[in-house]
Amino acid sequence: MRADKPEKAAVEGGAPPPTASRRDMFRIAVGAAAVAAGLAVLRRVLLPGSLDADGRTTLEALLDTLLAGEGVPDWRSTGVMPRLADELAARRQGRRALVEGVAWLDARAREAHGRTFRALPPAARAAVVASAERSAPGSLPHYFYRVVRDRAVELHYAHPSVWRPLGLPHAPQPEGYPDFAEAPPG
Amino acid sequence: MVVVGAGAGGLAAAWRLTAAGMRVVVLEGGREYRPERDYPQDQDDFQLRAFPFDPVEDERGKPRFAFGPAQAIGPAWDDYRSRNAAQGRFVDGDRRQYQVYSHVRGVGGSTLHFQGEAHRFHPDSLRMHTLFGAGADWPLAWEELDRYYAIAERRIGVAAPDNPLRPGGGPHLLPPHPLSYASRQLAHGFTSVGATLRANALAILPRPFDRRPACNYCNSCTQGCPIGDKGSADVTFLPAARATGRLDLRTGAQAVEVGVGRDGRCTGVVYREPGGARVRVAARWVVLAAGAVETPRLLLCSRSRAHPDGLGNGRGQVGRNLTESLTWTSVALLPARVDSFRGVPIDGSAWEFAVPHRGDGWVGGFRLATAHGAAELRGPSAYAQRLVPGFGAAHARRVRETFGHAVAVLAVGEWLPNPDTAVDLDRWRGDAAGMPLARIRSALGENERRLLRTMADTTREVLRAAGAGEVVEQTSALDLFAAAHVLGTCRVGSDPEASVADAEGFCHGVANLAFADGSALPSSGCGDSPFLTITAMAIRTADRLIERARRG
Repeated sequence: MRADKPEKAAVEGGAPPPTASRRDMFRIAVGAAAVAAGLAVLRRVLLPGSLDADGRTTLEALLDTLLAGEGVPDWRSTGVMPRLADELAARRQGRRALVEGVAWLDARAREAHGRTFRALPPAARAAVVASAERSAPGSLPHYFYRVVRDRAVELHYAHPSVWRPLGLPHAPQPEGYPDFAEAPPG
Repeated sequence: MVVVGAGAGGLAAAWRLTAAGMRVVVLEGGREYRPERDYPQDQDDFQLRAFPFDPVEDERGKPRFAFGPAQAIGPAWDDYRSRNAAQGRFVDGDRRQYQVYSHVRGVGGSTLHFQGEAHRFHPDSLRMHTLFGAGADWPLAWEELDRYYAIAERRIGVAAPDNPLRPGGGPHLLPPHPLSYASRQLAHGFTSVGATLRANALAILPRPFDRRPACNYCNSCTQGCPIGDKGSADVTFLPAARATGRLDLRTGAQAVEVGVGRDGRCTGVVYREPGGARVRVAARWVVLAAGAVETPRLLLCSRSRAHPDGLGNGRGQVGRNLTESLTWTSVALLPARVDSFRGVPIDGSAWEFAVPHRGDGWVGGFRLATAHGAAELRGPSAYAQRLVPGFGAAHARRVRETFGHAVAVLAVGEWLPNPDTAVDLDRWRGDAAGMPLARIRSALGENERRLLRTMADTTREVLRAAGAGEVVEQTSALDLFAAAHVLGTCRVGSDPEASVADAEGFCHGVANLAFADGSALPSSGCGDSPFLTITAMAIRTADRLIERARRG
């Protein structure tokens, strides 16, 4: 205790701190960079961001590709986008799949066609999506395709403007299907 | 007296006890559902609405159940793994996956989302050990069970055909439902494998009965019956028990311990209210009916000086001998539209292979059924997501071409007890009340694997012979645990070294503790649904309890 007092007094008295050597500065810089990189990785893993405007346009282009078809109502009228986006945004894994999956679409589009996914014509977009469909189970593009495609078609075909024209007459209740023992009409 | 659990067995027992003049408190951890609010089935987005199960997590976001090690599958079984045309394999990797314990926590229990199957077990299913050296014999004669089947059928309202492969029945049975148009298209396929497609035995009303309406064939049993024609326990046993004025049903009452006195007999049950308060109900008799997972958990958590390893577990039998229903489903497309979204979920059944016998490297047997509703083919969403691969214009065109063409054939087989399939307590995880979670361990034995292969091949042949195209979806117990029919963890038996309860359903060594759920069933019944057998056994045990109570 007694030996501490002079040191403390010296600091409080305004003596200049020891000057850092170049080696010390280098160590500090390297350490700070490592911490920053670690935090960035952690942030990416724990707090994946949401889509920006370009990313959202890319996702819309993907839905245009997945849910195209003659006579099929536009997915913009069947409530697919808000529900899909909300569901994915609600889970960390979903946010990550969305952000990284959209980035993968653009990277793949640039690699194959030299343009972003949203800038491609329909046939080229379909080729990029097909490559995601064919990718190895467990890979990012495969997971992204499965998550978005499976839920998008499920939501889209659950809308009455889509299922009624296919010959499903009504929801199960209140009428039920008392004609169940007969051949379908038509 | 106290009954723990308001499912098929608990409410059947409560009805029988209250009808005999007993005052009964029923403790139910879940809530009482309101069909018109919880599952009306009339919304435009009905395809997106599943049965409103309580979340698989509790109020703290923690799981309600724990699962044991996942069984390795092996590449030789690739052809028998779950997959569909659009999404590929359901399970990545080479280990079986615990998908869900399909259990409803609430008044009515799992009958709220069951498909109404109301089967009688074959007499030989009660003698598997004697006939084949497999599993365990039941400590009662089938003829006695038959009497209780009839009591249950009269209370519930069961529509069933004459079926020479399932003895019993009588004039109290309601006329069977006609087969749907879709199922009739498969009749030839069943014939080709040596089976006859018959109307299924169902707790679904073909005509008004006991102030309940007839079914209107909406095919939504698994999502919850909104009109009350399906014989779930909440519309059959519960109203009758309530009408006696002697039923005290407490919901949100999670049983946490069965109290035991110095003499080793039960003194009552402690339950936890939603706010966390603990309430003790004193009782001279305790009936456990929380299902084959929660009933052994409650026993194992009820430790005392007299029962240091858990109540009734002096011989280490509680939680052992868990059996499931071994299931396989094949879905294929017929050339013409049949609109299989109409009807009841499992309208046809064939029992030719469901008489216990020796097969190709297995013992037991399996039942075949038409199961379009059970396969959740209620609308175009399922086709677009699961059955039709790809995306874009070609996908949309194919959905348009195929909607209404899909049919499903289900096979349900015997599951013999094995040491790796059981319920015990998770050592590390507990619930909000501080009770250790039940841990489900499940692994197919070699008998189940071989039987599953036969079941799969037979369903494929039925579809092929009926003129269907290739299988577009197959769902297999080989790689997915999704059991609803769990049984046997507190089985009845004559030998206290190999069972938990005696022949009348009372715990060996604890004379005032009885069982009235699937945990008491010693075998899984060769592919039959256990619902009717659980209710029949619960009513029988209630009768024995009434006799014992009156004797003092």
